[in-house]
Amino acid sequence: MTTAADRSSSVADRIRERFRSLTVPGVGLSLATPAVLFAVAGPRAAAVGLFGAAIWLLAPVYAFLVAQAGLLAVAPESLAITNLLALQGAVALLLLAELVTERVHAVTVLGFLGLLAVLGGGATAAVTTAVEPWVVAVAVLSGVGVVAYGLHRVELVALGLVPEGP
Amino acid sequence: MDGTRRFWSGLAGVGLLAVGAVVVARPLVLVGAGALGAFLLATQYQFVRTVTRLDETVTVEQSVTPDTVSTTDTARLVCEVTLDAPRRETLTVRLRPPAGVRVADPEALSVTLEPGDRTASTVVSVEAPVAGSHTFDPPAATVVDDRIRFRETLSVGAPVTLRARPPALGDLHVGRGGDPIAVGYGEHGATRGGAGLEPAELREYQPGDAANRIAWKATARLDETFVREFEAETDRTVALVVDGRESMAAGAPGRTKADVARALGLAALDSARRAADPLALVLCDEAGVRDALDPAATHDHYERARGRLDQVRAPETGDTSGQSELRGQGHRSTDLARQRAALLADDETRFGRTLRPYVGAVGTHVERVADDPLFAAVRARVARVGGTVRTVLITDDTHRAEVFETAKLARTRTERVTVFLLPSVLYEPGALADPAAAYDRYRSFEEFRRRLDRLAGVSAFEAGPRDRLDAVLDSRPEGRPA
Repeated sequence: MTTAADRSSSVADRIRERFRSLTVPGVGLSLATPAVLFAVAGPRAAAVGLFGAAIWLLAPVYAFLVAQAGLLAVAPESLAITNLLALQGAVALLLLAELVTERVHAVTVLGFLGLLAVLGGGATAAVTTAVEPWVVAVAVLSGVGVVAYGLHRVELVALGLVPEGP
Repeated sequence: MDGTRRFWSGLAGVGLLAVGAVVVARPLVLVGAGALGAFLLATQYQFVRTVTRLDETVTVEQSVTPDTVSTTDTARLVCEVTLDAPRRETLTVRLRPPAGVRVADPEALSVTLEPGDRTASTVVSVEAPVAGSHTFDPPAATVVDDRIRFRETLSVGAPVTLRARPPALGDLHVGRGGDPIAVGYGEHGATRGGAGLEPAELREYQPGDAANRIAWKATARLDETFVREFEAETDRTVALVVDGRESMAAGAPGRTKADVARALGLAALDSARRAADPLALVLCDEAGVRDALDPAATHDHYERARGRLDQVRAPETGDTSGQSELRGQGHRSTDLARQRAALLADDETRFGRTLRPYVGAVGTHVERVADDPLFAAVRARVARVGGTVRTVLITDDTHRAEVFETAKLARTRTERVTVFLLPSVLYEPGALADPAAAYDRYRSFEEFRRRLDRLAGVSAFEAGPRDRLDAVLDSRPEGRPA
């Protein structure tokens, strides 16, 4: 049975492991988030970025979600396209910083940027036109699902794990 | 590929942002949903890239030593995992022993390489209590990425096979009248040469095969090395008949008549294989022919025959002790039955009149035994084998009349007959409790064996535990002939 001491020891190990894995480029990119937010939207946005960068040191995906919530609080209701792109681009630096920290292949980084352009850019274009937000939401979720399933099938085929047909 | 809780949490975050953007009517967050989705897909691609290149970077070697053991011995299953460079993923390799193989320490079946490790190995003791070939599937490697978002399990390395042989019988005596035989069985001066060999089937190259036997055309066509088996043009076929009826179950565990019959059968098979003689195999039980192989002299055929013989076991039976002597005495030769019938034919005493009906319908022993399993098996399978045939018959002394007629039948159709007789007195538990009775039974058996041995072209040998035979011979009463 796992005791509280075991669990706290496991958490402490994970935190230590996380800090050991941090790299200078990754930390630098994460700190670029508040800097860019300050330049785009002022000190309140920069504070959101700083808070997000701090959480990024421990949990990058949660940091991104928290930063999104912060943007909702500090950003005005209607935004010009350029401002919208700049704000989200700054926060997306947290995700790019995580990819750099994980030392993924250059092709993976390029793939991220491409998908960012397609999914993020597509969402931007859609919301600035007459398309209903829920339609855009469904399109984004569907797009993520289809690509994820496609990668899963590619992996199965490459490893020869596709079951024989009937 | 399996997503872990962390991956599904991230995906849930994408959904949360998308739904939240619609609920609070702030399309700004939709862009964030797309960005997070792009990030998760990028990490998934990175994992796919890593896993599909695993074969190039990981070497898994699985081996079992020795690769042939007795069913009572243990073997060592070794797995060594080597990476060409330390990885950031966690790699766990798990061995997969087949059903029928016992593992001493199941926890030792797994070996884990943590991030940064380059080699790891594990050794497990295994036992194969069932005779035969046991194939260990390639080990299963489970890869988990360093952020624990994805997990995949795939086979790495090659399968290995462990052959389990029935245990050898230590002090088995084979001989005549207590004297062991001094000459090797089955050796004949077949000189091997280029002529007199017919090409037979193709099989995959195995280490040790001569290079001049490689079938180059097949190898080029199939992109794998094959060798051609040759069948000798000798027509000196060995027909091996093994009795597997209920009476063969007698004996101590591991030393039953069936165990001895198996050992003798395997010895005969090895002898035929060394001489490259075609081998036919017939296994009998109460119902008749249980299994049979037509004559052939290829590697695969000998292995098939070996596999069938490895499965010879003491049959499920009731108590057979005490029956053999009764049945042995009840079965007499045709000649003796005719003599008795002739004596009683003219006997008008009350004794003769009473017994005459019981010996009146003598018939022939051949007719009586014609439906008996061993006789029927030899008639059906051995008698039709062409060319020069040597029959090897392995049975016990329970059905003496049948054995006698079977040997005679085999001799009429084959060049030589060798009979290995297992005397029941040397196997039945408790048979040696009364030394005098045991000796009498052994004498009766020896008389029968000599009768068989006197048949032209027939050699009859006894086979049984040496210690029990010595006990019987030592208990010979004073003044009694050997």
